[in-house]
Amino acid sequence: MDATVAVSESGANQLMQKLLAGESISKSDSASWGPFSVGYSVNVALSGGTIELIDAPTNIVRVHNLNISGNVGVFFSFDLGAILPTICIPPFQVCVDIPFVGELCTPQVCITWPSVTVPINLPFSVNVSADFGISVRSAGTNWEVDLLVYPFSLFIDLSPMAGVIINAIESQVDAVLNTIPLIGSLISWLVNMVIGALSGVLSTILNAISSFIHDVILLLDLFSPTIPVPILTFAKTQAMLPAGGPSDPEVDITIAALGATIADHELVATADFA
Amino acid sequence: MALTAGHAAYAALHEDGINKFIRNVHLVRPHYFHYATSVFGGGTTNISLLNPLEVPGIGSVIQYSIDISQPVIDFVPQDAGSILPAPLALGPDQFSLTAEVRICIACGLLDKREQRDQWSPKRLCSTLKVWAVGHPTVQPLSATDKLIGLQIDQIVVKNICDLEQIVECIAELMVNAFLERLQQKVSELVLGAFGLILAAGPVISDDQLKVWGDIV
Repeated sequence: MDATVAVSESGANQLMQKLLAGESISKSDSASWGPFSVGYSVNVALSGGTIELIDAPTNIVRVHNLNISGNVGVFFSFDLGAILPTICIPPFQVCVDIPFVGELCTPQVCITWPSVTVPINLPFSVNVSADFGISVRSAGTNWEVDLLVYPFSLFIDLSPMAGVIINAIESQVDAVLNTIPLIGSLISWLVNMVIGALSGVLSTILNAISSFIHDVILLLDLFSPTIPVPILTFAKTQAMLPAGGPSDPEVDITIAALGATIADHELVATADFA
Repeated sequence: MALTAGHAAYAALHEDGINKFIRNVHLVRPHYFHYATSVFGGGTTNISLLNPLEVPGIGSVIQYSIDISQPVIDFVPQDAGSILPAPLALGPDQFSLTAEVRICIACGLLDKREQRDQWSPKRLCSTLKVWAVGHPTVQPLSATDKLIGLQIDQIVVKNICDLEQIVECIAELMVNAFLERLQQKVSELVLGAFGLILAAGPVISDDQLKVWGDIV
């Protein structure tokens, strides 16, 4: 080989942190469960972790305690009329048919239930460990030493956030109902009806959002089993002496071949010049 | 044994690599290797211009040319096929350089117009073999980068009898000027894969020029 570049585990950690800084993603989706329409927007970022370099022939870059964190902006929207019973005051109306006048009824007001939107922010954070294979790839004008993730276990569980969601919805419904006159004594009962309806579907909603977060995380290039992520990139044409005028054109060296391996817990790249 | 030796990163240029680099310099910038007065083509893209030599007593000049072959660098340990003339010896952290220098003069080509009908110029050439040994150098370039290079310490030009010291002095200056033009930034020794702040080296061993540093 004509040139060698080696990176220690601490150096690989530095390169990995630079790589992680560019690994973030945002996605959103929505669905309905019973009377509840739920929109959710997920932001994911990666940070931290420590690298262990496992020698050839295994050639594995193992990342320990990589932190995957982010938040889900969830919007619950629901029409209270689809959950609460019709309430009229007074509950009964008496009508009398008067000759030559027509039907006359006692006054009654029936409540039109409003729609409610409750925004909730759900932060999440999980540490994972993952193994990456290394490979060399010719990518256009560059040679790359790439990482390609091996299948790994990732479990996202938002169920502990159920209480936060219930409290937020309970509080918002209570506030909305308090703006409606004449139902003060019923508010507690009405709120319980909404929470009761929510409780029947909340677990399903949280599972769906957890699954969505899981899928979004796997959309990150670093976690894609089919997208190689470069940890070292070498231009195939290296400008060894820059151009210095008409009689001093640039002097280049062409990297004709690149090899990569892990030895003595170091990532070692070797280049052959043309 | 780990290459990085406790540092974040390590880079090494093998003697084969630096000789390919010099080959490319030879191809792309031939005027680094070819020098001549105007009569011998100096001042063109491929040949650097030299001033003719004044010849004492005749009020004229001598036209001449100097051509340097592609130098060959050998990092310690010495290659099996490489032979250095005494007193040169390749020690730790050293390299050797060998090249041939061809010097030609136009003998009898006098710059006197009235005598042109009497011209009978002859091109006389002689090829000298040059051997040198030296060490790696480092020079500050900026707050985060340095220049890595090579510099010769001792040179031998054989079979020139009493002129040896004079020719060796000139040759040493020429070779070091040439090597200075080939200096590389530390960041370039990692082939652009990342920024590197030099922490140790350059050191020559195992046929390679080695540096160690921290990644930026």
